[in-house]
Amino acid sequence: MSNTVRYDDRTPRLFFLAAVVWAVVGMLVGVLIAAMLFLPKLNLAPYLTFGRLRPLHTNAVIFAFIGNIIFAGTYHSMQRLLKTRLFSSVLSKIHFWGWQLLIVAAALALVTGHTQAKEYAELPWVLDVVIAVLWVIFAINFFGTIAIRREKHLYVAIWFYIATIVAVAILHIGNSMAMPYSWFGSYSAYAGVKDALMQWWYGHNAVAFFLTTPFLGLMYYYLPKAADRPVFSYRLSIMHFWSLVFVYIWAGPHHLHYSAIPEWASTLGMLFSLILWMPSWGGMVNGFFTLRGAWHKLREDPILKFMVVAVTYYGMSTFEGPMMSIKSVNAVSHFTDWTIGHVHAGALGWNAFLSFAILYWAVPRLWKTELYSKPLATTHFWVATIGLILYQVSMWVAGITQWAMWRAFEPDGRLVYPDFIETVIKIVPMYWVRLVAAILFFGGALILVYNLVKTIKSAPANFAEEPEVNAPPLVADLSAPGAVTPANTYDHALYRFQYSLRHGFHRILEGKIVLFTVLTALALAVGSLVEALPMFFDKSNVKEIASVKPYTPLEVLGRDIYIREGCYNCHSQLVRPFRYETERYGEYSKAGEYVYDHPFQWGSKRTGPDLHRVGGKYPSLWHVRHMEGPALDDARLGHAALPAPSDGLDRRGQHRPENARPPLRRHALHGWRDRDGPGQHRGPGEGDRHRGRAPARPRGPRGQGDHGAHRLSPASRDRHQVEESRSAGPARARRAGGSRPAPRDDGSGRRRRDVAVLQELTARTGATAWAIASMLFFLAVWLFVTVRVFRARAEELDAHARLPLEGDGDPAELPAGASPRA
Amino acid sequence: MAQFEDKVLHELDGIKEYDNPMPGWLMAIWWGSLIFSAAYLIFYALSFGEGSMESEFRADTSQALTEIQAHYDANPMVPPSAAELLAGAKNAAVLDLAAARFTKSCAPCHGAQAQGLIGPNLTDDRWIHGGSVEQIFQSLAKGWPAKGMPPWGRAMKPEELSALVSYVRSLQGTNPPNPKPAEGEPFSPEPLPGS
Repeated sequence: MSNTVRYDDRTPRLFFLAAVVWAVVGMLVGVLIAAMLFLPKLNLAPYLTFGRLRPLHTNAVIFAFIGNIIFAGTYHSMQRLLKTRLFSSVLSKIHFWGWQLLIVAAALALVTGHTQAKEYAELPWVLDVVIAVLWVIFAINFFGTIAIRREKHLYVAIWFYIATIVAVAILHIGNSMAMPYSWFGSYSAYAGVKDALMQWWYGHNAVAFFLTTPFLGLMYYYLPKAADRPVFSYRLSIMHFWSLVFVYIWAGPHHLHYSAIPEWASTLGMLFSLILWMPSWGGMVNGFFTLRGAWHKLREDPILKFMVVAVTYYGMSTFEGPMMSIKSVNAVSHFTDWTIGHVHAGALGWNAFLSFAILYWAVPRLWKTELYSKPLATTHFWVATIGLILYQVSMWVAGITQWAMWRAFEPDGRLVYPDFIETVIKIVPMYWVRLVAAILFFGGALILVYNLVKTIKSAPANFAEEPEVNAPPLVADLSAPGAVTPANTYDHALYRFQYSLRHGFHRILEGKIVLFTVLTALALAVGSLVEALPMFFDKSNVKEIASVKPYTPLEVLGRDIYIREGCYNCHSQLVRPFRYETERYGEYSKAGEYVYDHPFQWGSKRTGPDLHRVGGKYPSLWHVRHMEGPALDDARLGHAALPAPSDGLDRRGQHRPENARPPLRRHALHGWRDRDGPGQHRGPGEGDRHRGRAPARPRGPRGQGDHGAHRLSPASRDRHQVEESRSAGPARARRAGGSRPAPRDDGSGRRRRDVAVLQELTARTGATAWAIASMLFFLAVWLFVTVRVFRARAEELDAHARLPLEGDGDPAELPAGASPRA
Repeated sequence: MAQFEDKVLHELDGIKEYDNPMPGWLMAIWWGSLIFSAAYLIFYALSFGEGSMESEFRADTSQALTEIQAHYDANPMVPPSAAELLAGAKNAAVLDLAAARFTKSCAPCHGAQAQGLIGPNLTDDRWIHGGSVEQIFQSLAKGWPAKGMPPWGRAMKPEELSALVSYVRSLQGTNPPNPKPAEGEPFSPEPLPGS
C-alpha cells in the first residue's frame, strides 16, 4: 500500500458551486415572499403564491443551500482529517447530481401544489424516498471513507458529522411515514396530536441535526484553520457533543406549548430545552476561546469577521431558544413574527454567515488561487450584518406588538381589536423593514457570487490537480481480539488500562467507529422513545370525543385544497387555552378533535386568524362568497390570491364564470372548514354553545333586559369550564346535519366531574412516572459521563507531567518498558 | 479571564487541540439548568394539576369575569333609547361611521346596499325578528346564530352598534336594485325626528 494519498477535491468543488447557486435562488424567493406578505398583487396564482412559495423558500435555503455546504464541507474536511481519499468517486457523483435533481424536482412539486403540508418535510412521498436513498449513499460514502482512514482517532468535527448522518436518517424516516394515494399524494401515517408530536420532533431536530451539528463540525475544522489557533478545549468538545446529541432530541414539544398535546410532553420539551443551554453554548465557548490570540486578525480578515458573527449568533439564538421554550414566554412568541425572527437569527446569523466564511476560505484554496477581493468580502460582511440586525429587530417588534394587540381587552371584557386584520395592518411597517433587511442580505449574497466568480476565473490551469499528502496506512490494531501477535497478553491489557487512564475512555472510543456510531444512535433513541411511546400506547393522552366522526368525502376534498394551497403557512387550527383566544376564536382545542387529521394542520404562525372554529361562525353561504370574493380587508393582505383560477376565480379573487369548473371544489374547501361548525343546519342556540361562548356574557350592549338572563356568574362559568375540559366522552351525539359540537359534558353533576378528575389524576400519574424515570435515567447517564470525563482528565494531566507526548497515538505502540513485542 | 494551561493534546491536519478546563460559569449553567429542571419536574408532578394549563385558564377566566362583573356593577349600561337611535339616522357623522362598518361586516351577507343576499333585505318594510329600532338593536347585538346572524355585541364597540342601527333605519325604503324577496312580518318604520 502506498504511503501517499490524493484528495478528491472535485466533489467538494461541485458542492460548493451548487451551494452558491441555490443560496441565490433560495434567498431570492425569500425576498419575494417577504414582499408578498403585505403586497398581495405580487402573488401570481396558481403557482407563485405565498402559500406555495414559503415552503419552497424554507426547503431551498435549508436543504439546497445549507445542504450543499454541509456536503461540500464534510467531503472537503473529512479527507484531510482522516488523511484519506473519499471512499468512492461514483457514489460522490451520484450523491451530487442526485441531490441537485432532487432540489429541482422539489421546487416543481412545491409550486404545483404537491405537498404533505408538514413544515420542512413538505416534499411528496416519492421525493422522500429519493432523499432516503441519497442519504444512504452519503452515509456509505462517509463511513466508507472512515473505514479506509489513515488517522486512528476521529477529530471532533467527524463526531458531529456522524451525529448528523445518523440523526437525519432517523428523523426523516420517522416523520415521513405516509400512506400514498398517488405518485405525488399521500396522507400522513399519524393523525392529529401524534402527527404534531412526530412533526415537531422532526422539525425541531432538523434544526438540531441539519443546521446545528454539521455546522459545529464545520466550525471545528474551518475556524481553527482560518484563525490558525488551537482548539480551546478537547474535554469541552466531549462534554458538549454528547450532551447536545442526548438532550436536543427531547426538546421538540416546545413547539407545541398550550396546544392539545399532553402537558407532560410540553413540560419535558421545555425542561430539556433549558438543559440544552449549556450543550449549545459549549460550541460557542470552544469557538470563541479558540480565537484567543487571534482577535487582532479580525481587523484585517473578513473571513474571521464572518466567523465571529456566526458564533455570536449561534450563542444568541441558542440562548433565545431556551428562553422561548419557557411556557409563559412561548405564549407570547408562538404564532407571531418573533418565531420568524428567531429562526432567521439562527439561519442567517449562524448558518449563512458561517457558510459565507467557509466559501471565502475554501474556494480560493480549492481552486489554488487567492480571493479576488478582500474589500468586497468586507463590504458583503457589513451589508449582511446590517440586514441581519434589521431583520431580527423588526420581527421582535412585529411579534410582540401583534401579541399585545391580540390580548388587549376593554374593561368590559370585549377585545380591543376584534378584527384580526387590524393587528396585521399595524405591523406592516415592520414588514417593510424586514423587506429592506432581506434585500440587503440578498444583495450581500450577490457580492459573494461576484467575488467568487472572479476568484475562480483567476484559477491556474492546473487547479484540478489533486493534492497529494504523505500518510502511511494504519497498522492493524494489535489489541484486537484474535490478533496473532502477542497483543492479547496481560501486559497489553494492563497497557490498555493505563492508556485509558492517561487519555480517557473517550480516546479509545474515537478509534472505534462502530461503537461510536451505535452510542450516538442510542443517545438519540432515548429521548425519541420516551416521548413517542406513551403517545402511541397510552390512550389517556388523546381522550376520545364521541361526536368526532371521520371526514366526509367532500370535507376531505376541501382539506386537500387547504393543504395544496399551503393555507397552514398563515392560518392555525389550534385555539390555545387563553381567554384572549377563546374570546376571539371560541372554545380551546382538544386532542380528541383531531383524531382524523392526517396530517395535522395546526400551523405555527398566524398571519391570518385561527380557522379551527370559523366554520360555525358564519353561515355556509357566507363562506362560499368569502372564497369567491374575499372581504375588503382580506384583499389588502394576501387573500387576493387565495383561490386559484383553476377553481373558477381569477387572481384577484373575482369569480370568472368562463373558467369555472363545476362548483364542487370551491364548495369543498368550505365544506371542510364548516365541519367544526353547525353551518346552516344547527338548531336553536347551538351555535353559541358550539363556540364555547356564553351568549352575551356580562357585557350585553347597554345590556339590561334580556341580557340579564344570559349572565353567568363567575362561579357558574367556572364550573362550565371545568365540566367542559374534564369531559372524556361528551354525551352530546352528533346531529344528523353533519357538524360536531365542541366537546362538552352534558352536565350531569358533581359525581361525573369527580370521576373525570380522578381519571385525569391517573393519567397524570402515569405521565409523571414516565417523566421521572426519564429524568433519573438522564441524570444517571450524565453523572457517569461527567464524572468519568473529569476523573480521566485529571489523571491524564497528572500523567502528562511524567510521560512524553510521542507514542501516545495508538495503544498498539507500547512504551518500551511494557512492550509485549520486545 | 482566567489563565489557561494551553497544553497541546492532539494535532491533526495542522489543527492543534488544547485541553483546557471547562469554564466554571458554563458548568454552572449546566448544573443550574439540571437542578432547576429536576425541581420543576418534581413540583410540577407533585402538584397534580394545580398550575397546569387548564387550571390557569380557568382561574384567569373566572377572575376576568369577576372583574367584568364589577365593571358593569360600577358602570351599569343601558341600551340606547329608540329616540337616540332614530336621531342617529339624521346624524351624518354617525352614518359615516356606520357605513364603513357596514361595508366591512354586514355587506358580505346583506349586500352592499343592504338589498339582501344571504341575509334578508334590510331596506324593505318586512322584518323577520321585528323592525323597531330597539328590536333591530337586539338582533344585531345578540344575533340569531341558529339562522346565521352572528352576535355582534362583543365584536363591535357600543357606539358602532348604535350607529349601525341608525344606519339601517336610514336605509328604509331606499329600493336598491336586485332586492331579495321580502321575508317576515310587515312593520311600518318609526318616524324619524323632525319629519
